[in-house]
Amino acid sequence: MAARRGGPGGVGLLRKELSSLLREPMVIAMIVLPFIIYASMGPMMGGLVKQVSSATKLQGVRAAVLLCGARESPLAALLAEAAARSLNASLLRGCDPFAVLQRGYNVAVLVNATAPVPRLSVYVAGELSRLMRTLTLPEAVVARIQHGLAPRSHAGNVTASLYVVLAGKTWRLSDLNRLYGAATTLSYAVLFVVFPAASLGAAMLGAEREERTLEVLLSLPLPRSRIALAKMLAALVAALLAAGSAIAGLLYMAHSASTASSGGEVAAAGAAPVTDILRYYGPGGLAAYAAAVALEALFAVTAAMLIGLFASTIRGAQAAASVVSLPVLLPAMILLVGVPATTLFALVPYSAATLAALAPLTGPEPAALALAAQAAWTLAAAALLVRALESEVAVTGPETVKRLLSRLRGRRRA
Amino acid sequence: MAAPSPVLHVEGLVKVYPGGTRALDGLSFTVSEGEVYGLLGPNGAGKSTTFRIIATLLKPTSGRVVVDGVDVAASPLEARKRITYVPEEVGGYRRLTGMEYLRFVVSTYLRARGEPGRIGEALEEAVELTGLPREVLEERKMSDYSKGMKRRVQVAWALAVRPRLAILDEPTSGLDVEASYELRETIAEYARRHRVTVLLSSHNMLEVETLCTRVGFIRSGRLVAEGAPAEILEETGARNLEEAYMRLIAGSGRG
Repeated sequence: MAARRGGPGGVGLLRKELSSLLREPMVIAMIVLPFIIYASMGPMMGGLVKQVSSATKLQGVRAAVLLCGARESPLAALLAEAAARSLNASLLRGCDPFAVLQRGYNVAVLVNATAPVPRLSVYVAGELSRLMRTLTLPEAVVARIQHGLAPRSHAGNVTASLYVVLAGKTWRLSDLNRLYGAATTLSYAVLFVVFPAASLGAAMLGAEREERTLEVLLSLPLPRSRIALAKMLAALVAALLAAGSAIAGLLYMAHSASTASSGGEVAAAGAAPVTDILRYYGPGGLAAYAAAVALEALFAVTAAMLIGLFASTIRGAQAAASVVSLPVLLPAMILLVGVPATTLFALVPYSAATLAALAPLTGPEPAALALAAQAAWTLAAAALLVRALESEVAVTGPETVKRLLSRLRGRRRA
Repeated sequence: MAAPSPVLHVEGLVKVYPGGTRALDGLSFTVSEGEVYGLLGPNGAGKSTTFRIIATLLKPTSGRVVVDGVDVAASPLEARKRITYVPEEVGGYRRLTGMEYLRFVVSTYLRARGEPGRIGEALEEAVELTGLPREVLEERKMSDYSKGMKRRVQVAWALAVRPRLAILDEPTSGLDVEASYELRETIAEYARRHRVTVLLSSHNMLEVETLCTRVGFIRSGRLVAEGAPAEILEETGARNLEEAYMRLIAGSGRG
């Protein structure tokens, strides 16, 4: 009987294709990793929403309204009383919002009656560990005052200047938002370097094994440390070129969008990340950030090369290397919520670039500590790699893994 | 006449892999200067493990290997300056031309040995030894090379840098009759002319008979017989090395 299309032969072929695909480490990684990435973002997104929500509802806010020069303007006095009522805040006389914040209030609203038109200034005591709440709170305070003045209208006519006092510095909210945007951009830009770095690192030794050149290379009269260093630097250069290409492409895309627009707004938006980065980071800050990125990329290359020693194919090595590159997402994701208060964060691999990006906010100390820690991690990984290359693992790595896996399978069967 | 000095001295070599496999079980042999020594035995007998230990890729569980007076476990880098090693699985960098590869390997050796002035001469010699047209070496990437071409490139540099010991693991494996013959001739002629000491393995007994000045039969990680091919034939009463092999290895049961 002639086999029908999609009959047993077809099923057999499909089974063979699926069996081959689903046993390929790269495919397994493609299936498993997206879940891990998105699921691990859950707590961060939850924390972010919670901070925005608590700021909008003014939860945990202890506010004071300061009336400065009230005698000159009865209107200002009325405004101050209304603001205090809306915020359920204490009404104080004085002109120094910083002194008020130091007394334990976390919001100080200054009604300045010395100007021809009473002017509102909102000062919020910011928290690095709750950046989202800090960035949301000033506008939430103004919205509540507007609602108090004109309950039925969402668009009150009160204008206000918004400030955040953070780590001893006073920021205009608009400046802080732009700096946060620049820091986030820099924090995510590391991904452009670390992902190709890990992939290239894994391929460096994987390719030698796949092309059957590893044993000859290791038998040459070269110190293994020199082999490791040459491969690390070559992968780093290629990763930096890949990142440079991606960033140049994105900038060109932004530039194209800006020149295509007739108005200046899109042009300004397209150039904003670059101009903000140049504005908030001096040469020293940018050098620290570049050093952090290079150290993180070198760490990814080295750790991926170590993993690549145990893989028999390039694709297997690259799939396994995602283990060393994915954690780079964490500091960037954590930044969505805020900067962890603990110094332990600075000691974790891949936190250096994020902390260098945050240096204008936090001061240089956390970034310096993170840079030193990242350098130590990178050196440790390099030392481990040289040690591994000097040992038999360089030759027997894949067999070691196979033996371990078969032992595990044997134990499971038993 | 004084006995030729030993270039390779293997003494009581034992190798137990982490899984418990005992690949070598007290292997001992010596190879003198200018000899072409064939290590013969079935797959899994321990030949490649021996070669890898001599080439400093694996560490012995116990025992000692001395190459040209250098203990390979104690001074691996010094030992590697004296040894060239071509593994059984022949390879080559896909994106490099044969010439780029030869230049890299030859210059690495000669610089390490403090003879950078000899790089050009050794490179020319390697090119000649490959027997391949220069334009093929210069213009074509190694991904385009056949197995035989890759093997010729590997053997060429391994001889041209004039090592104290060249280790060739099954140098003609997988090659057709003509390619095997040519490569065998190259090795024999070069070793004779420059007194390069060669340690090789092969499953082709005709090759061993024509190429090797001395052979050692290895089974289950131990040497079971050793001598010049003529001596082996005399001792075993065999008509050729293949028959001797069958009597010494297969006849006594595989380990």
